[in-house]
Amino acid sequence: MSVVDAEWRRLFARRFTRIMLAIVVALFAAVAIGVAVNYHRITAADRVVAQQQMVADQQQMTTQLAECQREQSDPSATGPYNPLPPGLTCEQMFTPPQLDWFLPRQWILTEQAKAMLTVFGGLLALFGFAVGASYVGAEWSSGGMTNLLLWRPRRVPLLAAKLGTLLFGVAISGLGLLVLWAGMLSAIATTRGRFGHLTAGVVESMALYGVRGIALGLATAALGFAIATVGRSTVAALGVAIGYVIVVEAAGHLVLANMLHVAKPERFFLSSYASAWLAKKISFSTSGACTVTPGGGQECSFTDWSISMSHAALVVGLLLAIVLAWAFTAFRRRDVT
Amino acid sequence: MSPVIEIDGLTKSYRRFGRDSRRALDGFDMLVDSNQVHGFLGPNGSGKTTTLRTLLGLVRANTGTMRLLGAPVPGTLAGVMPRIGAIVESPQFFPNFSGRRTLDLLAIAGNLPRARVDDVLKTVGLSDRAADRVKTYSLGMRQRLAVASALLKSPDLLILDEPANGLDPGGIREMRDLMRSLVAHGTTVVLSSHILGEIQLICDSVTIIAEGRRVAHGPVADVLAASDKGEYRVRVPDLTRAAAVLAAAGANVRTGSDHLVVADVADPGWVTATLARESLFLTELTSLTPDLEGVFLELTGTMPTQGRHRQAPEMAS
Repeated sequence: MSVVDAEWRRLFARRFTRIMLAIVVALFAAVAIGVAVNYHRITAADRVVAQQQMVADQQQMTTQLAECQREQSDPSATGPYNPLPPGLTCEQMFTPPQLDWFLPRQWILTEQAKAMLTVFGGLLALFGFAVGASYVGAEWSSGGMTNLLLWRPRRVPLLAAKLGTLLFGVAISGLGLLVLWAGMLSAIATTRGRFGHLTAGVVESMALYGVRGIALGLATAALGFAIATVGRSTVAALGVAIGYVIVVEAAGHLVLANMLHVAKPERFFLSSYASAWLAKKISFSTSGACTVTPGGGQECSFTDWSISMSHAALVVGLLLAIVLAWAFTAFRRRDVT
Repeated sequence: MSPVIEIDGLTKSYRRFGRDSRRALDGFDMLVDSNQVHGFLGPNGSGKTTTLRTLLGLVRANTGTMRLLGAPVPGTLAGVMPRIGAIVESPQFFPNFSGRRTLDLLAIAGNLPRARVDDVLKTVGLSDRAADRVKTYSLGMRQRLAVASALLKSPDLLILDEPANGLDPGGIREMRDLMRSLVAHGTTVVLSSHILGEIQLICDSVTIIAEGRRVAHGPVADVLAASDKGEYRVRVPDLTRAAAVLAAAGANVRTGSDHLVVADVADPGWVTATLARESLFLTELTSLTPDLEGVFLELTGTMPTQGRHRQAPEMAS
């Protein structure tokens, strides 16, 4: 336990960890401020303006509807509404305007929660990876690992203690950040929007979304930790991550989808599984063969497919297990020179 | 005295991508008895640090056996490491941690009382700067911090790789006094250093390594005596005639620019008498007792040669 105690203190005494926490909090604040600036609660003045716009629109629509009906009743008439698109009537084309259309957009927590919690999960994933990689990478580059091994020569328990401490630290940080994020969203809903229909089920669903975000942060922290252990530096882990994003996620997607025409290319990218994990399910629509229609146009078939949360957990878990096994094996066997 | 370090036939090769492997240790042996300061000497790349790293479980040996404080290692290393303090090469610390925090974390990891931190800070003379960040420390202060970290465990065996690195003359003397004091309290100190004068002053025994093999070992006096060729420096007004007289009398004589070196002479009085018989009167007769630096340079083949620059060997240091 003494190693865990020392590692716990080291994790949060490190400037990098503190800076990363500060950056995540600053980004949360930036998003919250952005939302707060762009939305506000609907006031009586907003309603007056909207009412005036709706009346004006209604008058214009009434004129256009009458013109449309006139053109339809006189087959010889020419105008913008003759002929109408197939299957449409004048009444369908000109539905009466609603007041909501003219009111400013409102920020409703229940509607925005998914996007906001995806932001939380994404930021926590980046935080986890950077802190995980730096936590062990800095030890390698500073010589601290050699020092530590002179105190704790059993390598596997030492690395396991470090990993466990890191994961616990990221989990605690994630929980704190989730509470902070929820507080910010509540404040926005209270002051600049509204909560929407907030039932116990919706709250539970949002909480679980946040917990999955924390789990994603733990996975990326373990991944960063493992890569930095194998590469013996923070830079190695960050290099692998940046390389993966550029080469695989960006260039690889282009090559697979547009040049090699591989079906369902999204299944090869970790981002798909991370998204599926956060959202419980992610759906894709892949275009299949296209045929030329008699009118000269193209008609393409589409295949709808999805990645489920359990599938995502399996893929990410398997990858993590392989990389961690590699890291532990390398750490146990390698010469520390 | 029971041995605290026993190394027998240690070999270590480093694999190199696309090239032949590099042999850092080639059947190296070492024996260090308890309660003494033992010097571990060798030129750069001779295998000193590889030996220490292998002994401390940082590097895996290819063959050979090792015992630390009587326990076979690396098998039982975890059991003996709490009794061993070590610094290997120039240890680095997190630059943004203070000296005290650095030691605090090690004390916690080692289950040691925090009061030990104050003790060792005082011992190495860092108490006043303990709250400052390590990045503000000079090289000598970092070295003191490293020694402090090795002393935290109150070790039975202290292994120090170049502990005087970066220390000023006063600091070197303090380090020497510290080691003497540790030995007086029952600690064995193994010291790797290039400051041979310092080693000769402080060490009871030495091991000299070259090209991964032990080339000399034992008490310092014995190692020096083994290299003592019974040489004397002789100065007389007429060097040429004196050289001829001594050579004719059976001495082994080398002529220098302003002196002669007479070797294989058991009694210096013989030189005086032989020259006096030919009316050659000495202005100087000095015994050329070997020092550790001369022995080291000779045994390791690193004696500088005029006009030739020695190349660093392709070996691990």
